[in-house]
Amino acid sequence: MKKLAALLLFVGMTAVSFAQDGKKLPSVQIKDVQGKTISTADLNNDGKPMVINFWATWCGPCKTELNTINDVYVDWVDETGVKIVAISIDDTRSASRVQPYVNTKGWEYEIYIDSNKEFFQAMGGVTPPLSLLIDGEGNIVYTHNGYSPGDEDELYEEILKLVE
Amino acid sequence: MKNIIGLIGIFALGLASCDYVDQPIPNTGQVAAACDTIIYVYDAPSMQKNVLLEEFSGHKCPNCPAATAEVDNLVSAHGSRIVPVTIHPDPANNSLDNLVAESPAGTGEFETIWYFPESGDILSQFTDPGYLPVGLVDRTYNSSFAWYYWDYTDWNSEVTARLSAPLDITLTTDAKLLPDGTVCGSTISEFIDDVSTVGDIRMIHYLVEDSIPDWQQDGATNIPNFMHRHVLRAVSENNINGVVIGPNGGLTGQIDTTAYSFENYKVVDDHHLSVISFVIDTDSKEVLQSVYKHVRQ
Amino acid sequence: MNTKYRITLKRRLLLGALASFLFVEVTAQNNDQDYGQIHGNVSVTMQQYNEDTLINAAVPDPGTAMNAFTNLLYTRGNFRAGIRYESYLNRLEGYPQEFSGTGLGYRFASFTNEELDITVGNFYDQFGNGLILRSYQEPTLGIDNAMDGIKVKVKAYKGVYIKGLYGKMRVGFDGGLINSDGIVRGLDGEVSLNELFDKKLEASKHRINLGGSFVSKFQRDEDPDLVLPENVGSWAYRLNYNVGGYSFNAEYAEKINDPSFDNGYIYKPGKALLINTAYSTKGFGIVLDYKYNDNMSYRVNRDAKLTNALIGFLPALTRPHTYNLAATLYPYAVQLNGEVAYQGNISYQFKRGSKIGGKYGMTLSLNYSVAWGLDSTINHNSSNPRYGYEANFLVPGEERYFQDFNVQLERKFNKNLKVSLMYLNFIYNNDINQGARDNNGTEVHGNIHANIYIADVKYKIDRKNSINAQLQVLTTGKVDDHGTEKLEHQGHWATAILEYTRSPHWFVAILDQYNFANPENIYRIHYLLGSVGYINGGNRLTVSYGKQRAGLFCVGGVCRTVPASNGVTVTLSSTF
Repeated sequence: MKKLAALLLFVGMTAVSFAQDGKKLPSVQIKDVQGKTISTADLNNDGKPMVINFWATWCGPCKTELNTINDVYVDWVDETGVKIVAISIDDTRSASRVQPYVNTKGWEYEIYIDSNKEFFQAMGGVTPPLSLLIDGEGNIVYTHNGYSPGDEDELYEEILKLVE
Repeated sequence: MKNIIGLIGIFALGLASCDYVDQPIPNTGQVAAACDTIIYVYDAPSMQKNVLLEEFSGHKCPNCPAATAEVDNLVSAHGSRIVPVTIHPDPANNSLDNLVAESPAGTGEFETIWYFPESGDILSQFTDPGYLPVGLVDRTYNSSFAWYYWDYTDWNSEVTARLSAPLDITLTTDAKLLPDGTVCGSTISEFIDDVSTVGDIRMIHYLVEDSIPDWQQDGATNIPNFMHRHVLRAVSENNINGVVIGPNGGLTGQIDTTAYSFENYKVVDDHHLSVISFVIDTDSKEVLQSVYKHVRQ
Repeated sequence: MNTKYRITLKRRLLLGALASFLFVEVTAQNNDQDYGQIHGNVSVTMQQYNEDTLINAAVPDPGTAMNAFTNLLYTRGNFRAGIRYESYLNRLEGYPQEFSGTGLGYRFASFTNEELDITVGNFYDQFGNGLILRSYQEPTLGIDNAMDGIKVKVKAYKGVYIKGLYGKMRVGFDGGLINSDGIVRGLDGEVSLNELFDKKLEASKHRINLGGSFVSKFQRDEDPDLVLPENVGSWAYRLNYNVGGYSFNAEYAEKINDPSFDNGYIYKPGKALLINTAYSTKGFGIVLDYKYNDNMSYRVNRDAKLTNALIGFLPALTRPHTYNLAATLYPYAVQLNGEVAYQGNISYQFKRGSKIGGKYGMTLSLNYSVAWGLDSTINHNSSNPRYGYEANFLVPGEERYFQDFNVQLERKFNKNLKVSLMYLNFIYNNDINQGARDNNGTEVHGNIHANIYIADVKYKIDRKNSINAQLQVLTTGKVDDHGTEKLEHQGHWATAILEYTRSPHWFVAILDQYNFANPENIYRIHYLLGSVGYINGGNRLTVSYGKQRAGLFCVGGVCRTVPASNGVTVTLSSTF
C-alpha cells in the first residue's frame, strides 16, 4: 500500500512540474504493416477529426464494421476530412494475416499493428471492436464498443458534429 | 545519453548469467551418522494418490526400451505421482531366460547381472507372463487378460484411472545412507479412511538405483550405454511380502511406524539410490499408496 | 499490523486514489488548464448457478460468482500512471485458481520523451514475435503475466530501438498481486535499416528490420534430488523484410538447459523457428506460415502448469475461429514441448460487377493448417543422464496433433443481404489436446474427425434494424474399414442462432446448441441460451439465461476449459 501512495505522489508531482504541449494520446510504440515503429502520441489528422478503431482478423464484427465503413469512406473524407486509423490487435499468431486481409478488401485506412495490445489497453480497451473519435485537439469525444449494423451512422453523426 | 548507455550496461551485466548443467544428479549429498527416528509431518500437498509402476525388463528384451520410454512419458506427465521401478526378474523360476540372462564373462557385452532371488519371486507371485516387457500398475487386476500384468501400451489409461482412485492411507518416509553402506529409515503410515479387508495391509520397501549406463538391446540393435532408470537393487529384509501394519485393515487415524534397512546390496553409484515404500492389500493385491525417497539429503 | 487495520487502510487509500482521479477528471473538464486525461474501463461478470445434473453443471458454494476489474489510466503529456483493482468473489467456475480475493493487481507510472521511455511498476511487453518474452493480459481467459519492475525503452540512434527490462512476473492474485520468486531480465534491440541509412534507403521500396533479444530468468534451486540451473538464458534473432505486397518475417530462438515440469526435468536445450511469409495485392492475398518448436516451454517458475508463469509465447498456427461449433468443440492447443506446424491461407475477392462477383463482389478464402509432433529419439549417449531426447531440426514426426481445412464464401447480394457459407474439416488428436471428454467426464482417446457446415445470413431490415441468422452443423466420425460409420466423442451437434439488433443500443439473441446425435440418447440435450444487451457508447450490459456446455473457451488461440453451467449471467463493461 505504501507503494501505491508513493506512486500517486509521484504522479501528482510530475503532473504539476511538467508543462505539456497539447498531445493527449498516450505514447506507446506500435508498428505499421512494414514493421516500422511509430509512437501513438504522433497519431494525428492535422486538426481534423480522427477515428481510432481497434480490430482483429479473428473478430467478425470488427471486420464487418470496417468493411461497411470502407464502402462510404471516400464520401466521409470528402465531406468531413476525417481519417480512420485501424489498429489491429492481432498477436503473432495472426499478425501476418493483417496486410493480406487489408489488401484483399482494398481498405483505404491507415493500418497499424498493436500486437501486444499495449495501446489498446492504454485506451481502456477490453474487447474489440472499439472505436474512439478524437477531435482536432486530441480529446476523445465519442467511444463505441462493439458493432451492430447501423452503428456507423451514429459514428458519422458524431463526426459531423465536430466539423459543423 | 551517457546515462542511458550506462543503464543498458547494467542490464547487460544482469543478463550475462547462464547456468549450464552437465551433471544433474548431485554428488554432494550427505551420508548420515545414524538412522534417526522421524517426526510425522501431516503434509497436505502430498496427500494425493501416487501410482506404483513396476516394470519387468531385461537387457536382451528388444521391446523393453519402448516400455522405458512410456515410463518416461508418464513421469513427465504426472511428475512424482508416478513411482517407477524397473525389475530384472531372476530367470530361475520362469521362462524369461533368453530375455534377462547375461552373456558369458569376458565378452564385454551384457555381462551385468541385476537380478537376485527376490526379483524373480516378485514376478512369480503374479504367474509367469511368458514375455517382456510387462508391468504392474498398482498391482491392479487386468480383467481383459485375466491376470495382473498390463502391456505398456495400456499403462497410460490404467495409470490415469489409478491416479484418480481415492486415497485411504498416507505415507511419510525417511531414508538415510550410513558410512558403512547400510540404507535405513522408517515409514509412517496413517489411515485417513477406514479400510476393511479379509487380508492384511502390508508395508514393503524397495531399494532402487537410478541412471546406470549399461548395455541394452533395442529392437535389432545393441546400445552399449543405455540409461537404465530406477533399477530394483534389493528388497528390505529380503522379504517381498513386507510387514503387517493392519490385519483386516485399519481405522481412520491409525498410525504405524515401520523401520527398514538394506545391507549387502549391489550398487554402481550410491549417489543414485532411492527407497520406495508402498502398502498393499493382500486380498486384492492392490497398492494403496507408494512414495519415492532419495537416500542422500 | 493486524488484518483488520490493513483492510481499512487499503480501503482508505483506494478511496483516496479514486477521489484524486475523479478530481482530476472533473477539473480537466471544467478548466482550460491541462490536467491530463483519464481513461479506463470497468468490467463485471456475475453468474448465478443452478443445479443441473444432466449436463454436470457446477454449482459453487455461494451459488453465485463474480469476476470484476477496473483500470484507471491517467495520461498527462509525457506522463502516464495507472492502477487496476480486481475482484474475484468468488471467481467464476472454470477460471484459473490463481485468481481470488479483491485488491490491487496492477500499478505503474511511466515517463516518455523523444528518445526515452521509462516505466516503473507493472508493465506488459513483447520482444519480437514474443517467442522468448511476451508479457500480456487476456482477462477473459485468466492470463496475466504482467512484469513488476522497471522497463526502459531508448531510441539510441535514428532507426535503432533498444529495450531493457528487469523484474518479477505476476503468477497469481489473492487479494493482491502475487509475484514470482524468480526474476526475469531481458534486453532487446531492433534496427530499421531504412531509418539508419536514411540517405541511401529512404526512397527504397525494400524495407528491412533486424532484431535480436536476450532473456534470462533466475529461480533458486531448492530441489534435493537434482542440480537445477538457477539462471536460464534464451536468445532470439529476427528479420522482417517487406517489398511491395511481399513480406517475410522470421525469428529463430534458442534456450539453454531448462528442466521443468513441462519437459519432465530433462536438460536438453530448446529451439524454435517461426516464419511468416505473405503476398497480397488488391483482391488477392496468400499467407504461408511455418513453426518449429522443440522444448521451448519457458516459465519463470519451472514447476508451473497450464498458462501460468509463462515468459515466452508460442503461437498456434491455426486459424482462430469465431463460429460457435468451430471455436469451442475442438480447438487446437499449442504443445509447448514440441511441434512442427504449417499453415497456408489464400483469399480472393471476385470483382464487383463480374459474373461470379455480382454487384457487390464475393470473397473466397481457403485455409489449411496442420501440426505434427517432433521426429525425436531418446538420447542414451549423452554424458548427462537426464539429457532427454534428440529431435530432427525442422522435420515433422509421425504423430499428427491437429489438422484443419476450411473454406469460406462470403457474398453480398444487395445493399441489405449478406450471406456467408463455410465448411470446415478437423482432425483432432485428443491424446495430445485433451480437450474432449465424454458426458461422464472421461477423456476420449485417439483422433476425432469432425465436419462442420455453417450458413450465416445477415439482413438489414432498415437503417437501424437488422437480423443475423446462423445455422451450424457439426458431424463427427469416420467410416471404418467395414464401411460402417461410427460416431466419435459426443456425436453430432447443431447450433442455431437468431440475433436481432437495433442500432445503436439494443440486441436480443437466442442460441440453441443441440447435441442431436449423441451416442447416448439421454444426452441429446438442447443447450438453450437467451441474451439481451444494451449498448450505449462505450458501455455494454448483457444479461443471459440458459445452459452452457462444458468445453473449451478460447480467445486468440489460447484456451481454458470451462465447466457446464445453468443460470443467469450478467456482464457489464464500460470503456471511458
